[in-house]
Amino acid sequence: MKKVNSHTRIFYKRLLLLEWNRRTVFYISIWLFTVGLGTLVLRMLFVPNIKLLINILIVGTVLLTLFSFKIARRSIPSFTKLNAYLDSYNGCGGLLLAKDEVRIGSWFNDIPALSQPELQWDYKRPVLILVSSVIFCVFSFLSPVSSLISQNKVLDIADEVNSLENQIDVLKDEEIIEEEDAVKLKDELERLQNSAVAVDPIKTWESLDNMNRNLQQKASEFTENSIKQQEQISNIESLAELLSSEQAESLDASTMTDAMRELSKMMKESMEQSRRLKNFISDDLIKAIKAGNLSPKDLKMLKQSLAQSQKAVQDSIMKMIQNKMIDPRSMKISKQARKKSMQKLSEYLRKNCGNKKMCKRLSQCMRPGRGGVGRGRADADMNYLGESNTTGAKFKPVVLPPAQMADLRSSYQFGTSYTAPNTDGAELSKSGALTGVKVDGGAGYKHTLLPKHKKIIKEYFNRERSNE
Amino acid sequence: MSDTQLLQPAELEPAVSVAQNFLCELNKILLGKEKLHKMVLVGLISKGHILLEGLPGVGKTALVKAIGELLNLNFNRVQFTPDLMPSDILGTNILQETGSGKREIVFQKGPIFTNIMLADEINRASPKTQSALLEAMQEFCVTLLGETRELPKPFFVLASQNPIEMEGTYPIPEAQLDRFLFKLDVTNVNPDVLTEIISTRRRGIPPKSEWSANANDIELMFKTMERIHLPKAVANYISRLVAGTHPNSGHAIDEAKKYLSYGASPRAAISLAEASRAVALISGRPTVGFEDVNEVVHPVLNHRLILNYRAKMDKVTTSQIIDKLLNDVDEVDLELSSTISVK
Repeated sequence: MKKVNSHTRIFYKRLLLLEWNRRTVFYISIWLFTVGLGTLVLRMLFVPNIKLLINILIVGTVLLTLFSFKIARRSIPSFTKLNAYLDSYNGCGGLLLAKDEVRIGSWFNDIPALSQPELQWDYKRPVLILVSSVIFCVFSFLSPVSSLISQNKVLDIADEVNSLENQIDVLKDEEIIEEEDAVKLKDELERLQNSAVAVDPIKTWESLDNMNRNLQQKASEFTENSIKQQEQISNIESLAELLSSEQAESLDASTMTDAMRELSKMMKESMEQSRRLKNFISDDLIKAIKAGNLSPKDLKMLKQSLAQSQKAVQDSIMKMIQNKMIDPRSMKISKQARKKSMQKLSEYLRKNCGNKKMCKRLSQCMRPGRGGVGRGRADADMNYLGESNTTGAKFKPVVLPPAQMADLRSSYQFGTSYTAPNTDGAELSKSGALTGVKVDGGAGYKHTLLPKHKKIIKEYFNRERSNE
Repeated sequence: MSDTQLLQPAELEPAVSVAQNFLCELNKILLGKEKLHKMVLVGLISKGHILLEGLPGVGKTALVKAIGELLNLNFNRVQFTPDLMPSDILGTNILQETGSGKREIVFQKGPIFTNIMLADEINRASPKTQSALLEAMQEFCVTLLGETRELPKPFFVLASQNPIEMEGTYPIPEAQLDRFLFKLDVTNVNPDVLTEIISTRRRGIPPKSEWSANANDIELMFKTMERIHLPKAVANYISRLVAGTHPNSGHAIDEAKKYLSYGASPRAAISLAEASRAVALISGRPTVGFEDVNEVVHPVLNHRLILNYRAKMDKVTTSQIIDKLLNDVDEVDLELSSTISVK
């Protein structure tokens, strides 16, 4: 019996293996076509996670292989049928079949040696389909589908282009670049915008970034030059102010001549360096500058022209800041540079001026802190680029004892120093509102003031005396 | 598994021996028709009636005579003619004077009351006369004037018909055809055999047989036949074969749908099973194999398939359809995919 059963079992296993292969090939072919198609669709819609897709592909293939085994087992004929087939194939004359139904007794020995039938699978077509599906699946992963599909998908760079156009306009308006260059740049921008496709945004963005860098470079070069010129103009402005002030009357003629000559020389240099400066200076004034003979009226006009020039430069820089072409911090640098330039002017005057006393006074005039509460000249606006916020600017009200109130009432302002009061070696005030403040003979006091204090300080200085 | 014990070799051997002796002797008497002889024996063991179709002079009557002699059975021959009446076959009541001078109605048995009846040229008799055989063939009895009389056992009808000279004949109705287990074509022998016949048989007289069976031998064969095992898978094959001939069935083969008006009846399936058993017995096996079934499909089905008009137009024969049936219906329906084949 064992002999017969083993043959049937072998036949069963062979058939199962073949059926499993057939179904696996069939299911995997369908699966690969499905995955390939899905991948193509996904790649058309967006950029899918390829690793995830490959994992899904592998897991699905394994599951389908197991599934096909299960289905193959179900579809394999029963042992009875296989037994019947073996009976027929080996010409057993029904003896092999009868052994499962009745007791065959000695007939068992008459069952011939069983041979296994040949199993054939017409695999060419299924395998061809499988190979096609594999190729299709690989193609779906590797093909440049996204580029094919998204060729017409325009990359929206309108905001960037507008921003750059504005920058170009600013540079053109400020005569930083020539009009022709501006047109070329705009054409380039237009070309970029037209050729910007979603397939390769990096290329477009790189081009835009490159142009932005170039424009910013020009803007920062202009800013640096402007700062340099501003230093020079500040020097000229300071000198012009000095020469037109009442203190200049005390200068002797040679000093005045030297100062005029120096002013003329500095103006010539500035005008050579900056074409814009010429726009703000009248021809008559230019003649006077060249002649080195500036009247107080000329000096006043010069100061106004220089102020206008500086304002124009500041406006230009502001425009650039607004268009994000330069860093606003560069303005601070400018102011710091201006401070430095004032110090240099003071040093220059001290070194080159013959009248030591005058030089000292001039250098004192050039120092910052003159007359103001925080910085700059006395008539300078108290702002740091706009209105300050007054929120939280209240001083802490302190109820003074009657004695101190009386001291404070008796105190008065007799002047405002142009420079920060020198408190070196000063003693601490022991009474009044300035108790604990270092004072130098009661000449003033030094205290750090912030822009937020502007309003209240203004109110203090503008207060009516009668109210005190 | 059933507790039934399969027929053991020792039990089977005597019957097989009788069958082999019969065939051996028959082959000696009638030369060159071994296959026909085997089928005739299969039909006899299966207790079936046989329709022999062949041209005149091919040995139909000689065959039947030889069978009667070898089996030691009574043999009657009836020559069917258009004016043959049923009573000429079955018998009739006659008024007869007894020895005492008394007259009484006595049943005079017809030629049907025999073991083997040769209905020669059966298609020449009228349908009325042909139908007189119906009860005898199926029920093995004859009813006349309300009185039923059993026929002797065994009873076989061996009918013959001439495929030519169709004029003046009455084709046997399908219902009667179905009662014949086999329809066997008796053909001419090949020239070599014919030469031997001419050389050895003066005036066609066959040699006397050296062996003949007795009643016990025949009974032994019948009893042994009863114990031949038909496996379920083979029975399933038979049923699928028969279902394959039903043109309106879902199992029908394409040719059956196209060329058949009616397929084989359940009686055909039973006949196939019985005939297969007989083949297995003759082959000396206690079980029916697929090859046994295949051997008897042609004689069992060829007179049971009713061709339609289209088949006649296309000159398609039942034999061709049966060949296609055997080709299309797998012995074991493994229900495999079309791309997988087992050879």
